[in-house]
Amino acid sequence: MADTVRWTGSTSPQRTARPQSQQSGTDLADILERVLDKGIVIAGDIQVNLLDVELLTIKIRLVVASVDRAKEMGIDWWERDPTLSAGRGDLEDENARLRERIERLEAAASGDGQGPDTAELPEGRDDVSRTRPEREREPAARAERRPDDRSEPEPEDGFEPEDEFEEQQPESEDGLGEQVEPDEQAEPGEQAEPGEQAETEDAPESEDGTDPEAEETGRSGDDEDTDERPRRQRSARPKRRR
Amino acid sequence: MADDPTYVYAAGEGDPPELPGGLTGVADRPLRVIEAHGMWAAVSTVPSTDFTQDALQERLEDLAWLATTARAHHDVVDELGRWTTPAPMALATVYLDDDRVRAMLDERGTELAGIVRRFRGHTEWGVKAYVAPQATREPEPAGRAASGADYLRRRRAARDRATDADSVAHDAAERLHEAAATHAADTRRHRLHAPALTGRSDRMVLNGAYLVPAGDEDRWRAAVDDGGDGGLTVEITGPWVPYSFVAVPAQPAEEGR
Repeated sequence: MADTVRWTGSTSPQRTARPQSQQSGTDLADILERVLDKGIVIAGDIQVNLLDVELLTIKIRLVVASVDRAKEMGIDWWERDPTLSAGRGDLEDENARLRERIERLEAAASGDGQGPDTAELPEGRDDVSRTRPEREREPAARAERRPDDRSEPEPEDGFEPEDEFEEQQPESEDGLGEQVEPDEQAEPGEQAEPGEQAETEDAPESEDGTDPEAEETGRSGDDEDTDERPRRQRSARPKRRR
Repeated sequence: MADDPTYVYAAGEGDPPELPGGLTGVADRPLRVIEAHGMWAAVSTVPSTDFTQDALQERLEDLAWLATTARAHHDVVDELGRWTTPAPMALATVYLDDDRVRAMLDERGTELAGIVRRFRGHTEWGVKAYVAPQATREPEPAGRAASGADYLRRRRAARDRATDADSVAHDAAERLHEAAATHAADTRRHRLHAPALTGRSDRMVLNGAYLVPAGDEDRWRAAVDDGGDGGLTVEITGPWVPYSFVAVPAQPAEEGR
């Protein structure tokens, strides 16, 4: 029992002390969860809808976007993930081997034994590092998606669009090693990711997308910009004065 | 200053608590108590610059402000909880002036008193349980992948193992919840926090709140201790003023006046 249950350090002091000792992000999440979501909601004179789901999403995004969270979750987590870090060495070797194979296949197919690819070989390793900034650029998006990486089944297309594989994608697509473009590379993987984010956030936008008339005729749809929605909804609530 | 609105932290029934002096709340403004209609409300006057409707809406999206304000709100409610049984308001419950607060106490007194009576003699405890990713991923095959296809196979196998481990962790979380519910007057299950929110590499599998009668804390804690098997990392938070139990799921909190 004692070896499987680890009572975390914050537990014992809280037994007697006030929760003012709560400093970390986790505890902030606990506090926000309660004071934003759970307290008594009475229409004050200044009324904001604190139960709005979008607001909670914003709240989470904000927490994620804080520097520490971003650093910890967006940049560092994959380095600390044993699966990923263990695979990195393999991946780079694999990358180089695949490039060689593709060059050979290309050479055989085109009859051109000298393709420019030979010169690109060293860059294959560079690609690994060049794709890193792409990951770092959107730590929040990455971090939010993370549960899906673990729990959602991957599409059974034999090539999971997981980020770990992004280094390999160019070879599998067109076999041109020099086309490893970090920007293009990371995007498809991100968008192809099935997950909550796509459902909760992309849905309204895609509805708009399927109805181009709404935009052209100036008909103001109810859901357009996700960022606009919560504010509009909440401020639409009239103040209740009696 | 005259236009500065009144921020309400919590309300209560009967005599107001005698608070130690010097307590401050949101925006470091001093804490006051308003009495009316057999109820009281803990309030402070807050700057109108932050608490107009538009400004507040904007402020709520400012993480630093939100965090500071949420902590200030929580600290006041928590302090009140040491002296009395408060019915905690949601963050940013703001009235134009004290008279409006008195009107609210009159209007909502019955409902608030009902909450106070349910809370009296209870505290809320939180139980969060996490499952470590290492535990689910350890049995990796030795050696490096012989080919890209082999690598992908291994990754998929690792994921399958993780899925099995997920259901094991889920069952363990359910058992832990049942154990924690044993000595609780009421329970709530909150949404699980994403790793992005917890800042942890392990995954949350239980986020429960338990309304525990005063005096039962040790038994409750022992039950949680016993229930926490299955490789879960268990974290207990509390005591909280029972924010999580403000709403009654089955019936509205209002009772006949």
